[in-house]
Amino acid sequence: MQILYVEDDKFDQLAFKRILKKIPSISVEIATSHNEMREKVEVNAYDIIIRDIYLNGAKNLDTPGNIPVYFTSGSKPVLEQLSKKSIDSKFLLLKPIRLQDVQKIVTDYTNISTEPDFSQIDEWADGDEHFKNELITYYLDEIPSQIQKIEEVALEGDLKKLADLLHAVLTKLRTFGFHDLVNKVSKLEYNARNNDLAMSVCNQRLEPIIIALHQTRLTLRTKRIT
Amino acid sequence: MKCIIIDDEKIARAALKKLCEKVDFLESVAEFNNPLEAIDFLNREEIDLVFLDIHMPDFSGFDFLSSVKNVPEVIITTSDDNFGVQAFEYDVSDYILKPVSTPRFIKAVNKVRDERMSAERNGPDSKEKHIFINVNSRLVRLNYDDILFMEARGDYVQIQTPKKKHLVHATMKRFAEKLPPNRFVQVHRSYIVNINKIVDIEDNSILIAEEIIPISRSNKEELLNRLNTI
Repeated sequence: MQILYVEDDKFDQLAFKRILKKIPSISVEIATSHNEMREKVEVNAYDIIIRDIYLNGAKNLDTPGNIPVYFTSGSKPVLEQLSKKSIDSKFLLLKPIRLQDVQKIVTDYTNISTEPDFSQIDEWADGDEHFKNELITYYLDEIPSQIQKIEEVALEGDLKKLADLLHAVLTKLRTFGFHDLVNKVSKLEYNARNNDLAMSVCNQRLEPIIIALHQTRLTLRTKRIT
Repeated sequence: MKCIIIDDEKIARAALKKLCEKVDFLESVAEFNNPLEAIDFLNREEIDLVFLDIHMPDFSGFDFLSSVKNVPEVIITTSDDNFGVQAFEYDVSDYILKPVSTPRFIKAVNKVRDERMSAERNGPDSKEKHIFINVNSRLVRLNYDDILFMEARGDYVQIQTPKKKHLVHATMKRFAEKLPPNRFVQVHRSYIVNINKIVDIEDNSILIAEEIIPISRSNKEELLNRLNTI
């Protein structure tokens, strides 16, 4: 997933990059002016543009091509005004942009919900929050290396290994009730195991899954009880 | 029952351990992320039950089952529903899909406990699954499941299986002593039948396969006590 962040304020640029570091597999490029945005869009295939409404003091709502554009502003009234001008409020972000905002954008892009359903763990735990935290900690510890292995194997083009690794991650996802992700991973595992897909298609379908897997980690971190 | 958990995933081990804590008669004594370490442990310690994952790097659950002599009771816990048939070929007690729900876990361990209790009640030989018979100076193995019934023939006993009859120089009394009482019952002085092969019982006769076997009055009560009837 490639994001073009259009912002002339250095502090906001830095803060945004910092947030994005928490979701590996998303790359971000910065443009500091309207013209630079247009130039970059012509040569790169961005999935999303997030842009400040006021660039270098001038208001500009230009949206190049068919790329989804999210508008940012530090002023709530400015955003409210845009909302009245039939821009869907989900495309309007109040600065400073928070991790939750980016997570929502990412979820819109992947179309995979990463909200956990703890019913299975609650059934085991019988109210033992320490146990629940323990399981979350194990998940947070183990999932990054599993994601990394999946990415490596996908690069190698080994569908059989990819199917095995996706299978290995499924139990965890089921345990934490990431139902949407379970469906997507199961389908891809099935296709990979049966050699149903060309590797390029497989990688296309894998990309949102990888992003969503990273997202599960962020989601679960916030669910730990300290 | 003392049990161990073999699974390469921490989350799965923690969940199974938690589930064991919920059952009074279970004591989880060790966890292993590597079946090879578990084999060492089993050679040293007496364990009643193993919770075993199938997919593990380097050494799978099936490798484990093939390598261990005198495997305790085994409950397979896996996220893969494709290996059920293969697992039961290893004579495992149950096959549960992960994540393991509490009711399913309790059902599986109750089954193991009940089977063990039944085995203890029925004597040390009741876990054996076969008997060797002497046929023309050759020891032939007969699985209990293959025996339909036995019939006294003078100094011999004829053993009926679906495909074959075996004539053995022995007495009915000797067979009655040797066979596990939870599986076989003497219904007549000349007949011992495999309880699991009974099709129906009518008045004083039993139907097994296509054979009608008489029940003596004195044996009828014992027979009916052994059957699971409503």
